Amino acid sequence: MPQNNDSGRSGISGMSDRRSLVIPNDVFFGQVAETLAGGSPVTFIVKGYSMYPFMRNGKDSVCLEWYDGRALSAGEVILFQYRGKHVLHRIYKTEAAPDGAMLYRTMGDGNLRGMETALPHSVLGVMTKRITPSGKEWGCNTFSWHLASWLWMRLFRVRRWLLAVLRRLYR
Amino acid sequence: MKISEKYKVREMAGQHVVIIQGRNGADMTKIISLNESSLFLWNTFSGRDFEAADAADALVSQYGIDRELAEHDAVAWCDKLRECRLLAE
Repeated sequence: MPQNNDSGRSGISGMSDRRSLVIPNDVFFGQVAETLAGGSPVTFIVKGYSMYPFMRNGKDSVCLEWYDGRALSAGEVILFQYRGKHVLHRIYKTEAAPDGAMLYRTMGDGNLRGMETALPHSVLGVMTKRITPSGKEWGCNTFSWHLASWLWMRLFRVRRWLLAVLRRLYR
Repeated sequence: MKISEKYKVREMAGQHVVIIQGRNGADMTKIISLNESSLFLWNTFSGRDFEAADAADALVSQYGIDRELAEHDAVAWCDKLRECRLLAE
């Protein structure tokens, strides 16, 4: 999941001389984590298909804020570390571990199987909005986002067919 | 002119980069990469007022290039700073 970013051919790049700079994931997310820990929100373009249709590979950006340790709810999208990788997935279930600590069971919206477990200390940030290439923002605290998220999670049994249709209509 | 103090050069994947601060925080969809001479100018003039002529002087003294070429490059560098909104208001 390399990140493509603008960078200059010579001197300082601007809007007129863009090119892609491939940054290794661990380096990129190290920078994201550092920035979030410093209290600043971070925006980056999503790579990968696991959060489709909410986030489209290479098109939509996500804005994340620092995770302050609060109890998270099902439906929230989090960036967390999982088996040495950084994952941006949605919480589908919350559970309490035997010691009382919260466990978050996550899954990609575009995935049909496979859940991950996120512990609070592995959470780096919480998604606050999605931004399309045209700049249109969709806040994660809006009614429409909550409704769409709830519906998508509820329709898991027919997700395979929904994805098949959506992939033709919404790219 | 002066480089805005809210921008810091960071090293990422062997590149010296500046991350833009947008209305949604650190905008990592647009990362500005500095080459060697651009980094030199950034480090030289960071935190102080300067003009394109000062940047040209620095280039001449650092790289021993023609004054005319240095002035051309210095103006281009300043224009890029302005275009990328890296200058303090």
